[in-house]
Amino acid sequence: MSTGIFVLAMSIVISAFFIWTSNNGRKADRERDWGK
Amino acid sequence: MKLAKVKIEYSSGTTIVDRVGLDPLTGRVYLAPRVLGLMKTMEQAECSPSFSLQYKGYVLPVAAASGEYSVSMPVEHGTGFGKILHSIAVPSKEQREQNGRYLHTLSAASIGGAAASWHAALGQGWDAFVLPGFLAVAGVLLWYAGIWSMEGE
Repeated sequence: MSTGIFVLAMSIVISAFFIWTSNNGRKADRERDWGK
Repeated sequence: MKLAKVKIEYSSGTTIVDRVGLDPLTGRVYLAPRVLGLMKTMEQAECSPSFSLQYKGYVLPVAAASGEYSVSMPVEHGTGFGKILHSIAVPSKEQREQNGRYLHTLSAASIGGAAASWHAALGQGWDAFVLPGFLAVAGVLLWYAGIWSMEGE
């Protein structure tokens, strides 16, 4: 049970982190491109 | 003084690409008389163009004020450790794609683990099916995060 909870918690943390970074990257790209 | 590439795009499709002088401290842009002449000629028949300058991978809009051209210089993100952290927190498009592939690898591992632990749990009561269930949910979650990272334009 505890292993399952740990796996799920880790996957939530990893997913949230990469979604956050990809949002940051997209935002930076938009700000960089607006002069095009 | 640095050299930088500028792109002047008119709504009709005419595009002027040239090199200019750039003062990185002040952001002042020095255009060659040839380019200024071309712009003056185009002004007679065209709307105001989109005027951008490429510098260190950034595309900066060029502002014109009383005959002088300038850009606001991008903020540098330090050196060393700070730069590494910035590249992790603000990935480029290619890095986002790689992150997406990594997440899909983790997702595949979770689904594979869920299938294996499902078979191991058979005949061991309902409690044994908690781990495969959580692994399957983790697999779907990581797959979705991977799709999110790889989202096209």
